[in-house]
Amino acid sequence: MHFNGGTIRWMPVDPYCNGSSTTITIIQSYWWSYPIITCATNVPISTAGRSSQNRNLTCITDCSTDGGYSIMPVDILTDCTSTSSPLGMMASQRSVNTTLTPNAHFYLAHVGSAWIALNYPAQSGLQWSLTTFIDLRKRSDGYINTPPIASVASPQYVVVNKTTQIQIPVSDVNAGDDIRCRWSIYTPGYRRRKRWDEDEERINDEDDAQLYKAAVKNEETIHTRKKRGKCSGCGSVCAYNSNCCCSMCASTTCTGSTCTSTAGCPVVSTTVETPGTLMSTLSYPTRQPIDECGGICYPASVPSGTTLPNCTLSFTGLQTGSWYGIAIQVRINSNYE
Amino acid sequence: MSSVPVQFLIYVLPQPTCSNVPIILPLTECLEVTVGVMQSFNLSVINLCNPNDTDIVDIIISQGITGMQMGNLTTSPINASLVYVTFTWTPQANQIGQQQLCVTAYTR
Repeated sequence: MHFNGGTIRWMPVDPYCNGSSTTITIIQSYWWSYPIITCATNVPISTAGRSSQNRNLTCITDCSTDGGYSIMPVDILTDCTSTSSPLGMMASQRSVNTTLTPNAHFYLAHVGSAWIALNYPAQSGLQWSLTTFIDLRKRSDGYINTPPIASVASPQYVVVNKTTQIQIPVSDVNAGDDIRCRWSIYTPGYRRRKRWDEDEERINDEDDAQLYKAAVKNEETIHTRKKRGKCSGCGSVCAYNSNCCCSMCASTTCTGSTCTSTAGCPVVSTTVETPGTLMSTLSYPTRQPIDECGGICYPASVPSGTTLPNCTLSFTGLQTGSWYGIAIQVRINSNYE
Repeated sequence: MSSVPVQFLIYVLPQPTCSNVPIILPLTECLEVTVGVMQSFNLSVINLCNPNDTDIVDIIISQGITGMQMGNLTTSPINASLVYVTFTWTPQANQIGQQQLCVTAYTR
């Protein structure tokens, strides 16, 4: 896909906004292989052969409080801002305003496929999921927090067998905010009467709460992963050799559109959440999983010993010629919550 | 609490001929600029390897400032180990306050 990562950030146009609606600016910044991807507007569909590769940033969790985002979604297109021919790198960016109802809070993701073959031994077909949490609820001091800005050029290069520190440059407009970095994670969803444990792989797809009803055709091209609706007969797990759920399979044992693990492939997420269903034993409503890392979740995505103290990545590559994917979330450790 | 994602790739290179990292000048500096007045400044990189083996191949902006342009990488005519780029920028009123520029220099 020649997509090399990036960041999605947002900021309120007016942090002190008190009206009946709140306008935010969503800024997407991505890195690409150049000149494979053309430097132009509307990256990447402006590259020959990629005209079908647009999609929207989608709400993946807490969508009942998305403030109306789903009515006017933002797509993933950006515009080329700079290139380096000697390094084969291209950067792109686009800012889009969207208006939401006050106090909206939801998880917005750019999901796609696939990264260049990553890790050692190399695995191809790994999907990406860049997830940002948009929270318009005002801080206790009365205004909407503007999240930090973080930006790392991609790719980064390290020398084999040499521990390298890669600093994540972070900054924040709100003076006094304490910026923290952590590994991006996959948070499983849960539903009525059962706590779905990611470590438990269930091949039995009969369940008390049948959330997945209608079968939806899975149209998936080799290089574009499209999110589809609910599957039938899959429950919370893609059965071995099943097709419909595997567009959302998290495990790398899911190849293309088929789950190839005999233990089943866990489903990453579905579309619209069922609001307001209370669990009988726990006090949380039904909730969708939050996938912040796609196929590059720590620690399996990096050599052992990789750490992330104080927004600086400490990494030692042991295999010349191998690629690794790094997924980090940057947030504020705020006293205003 | 709001969070933003940062995702990037790492590529593992073989041992280079020379492992001295270059020096970027100025290392840290805060420039005072005025709205509406065009600014121009140079950012230099010193190659600490033998330029016959290893060159500064390019400078990448990892975090830019809106409206700031970077010129082409130029080798100093008097010192083959020194390269520089020229940045030009006319600050706008909505940029008042601190703006941060981050760059990375790559050698080969």
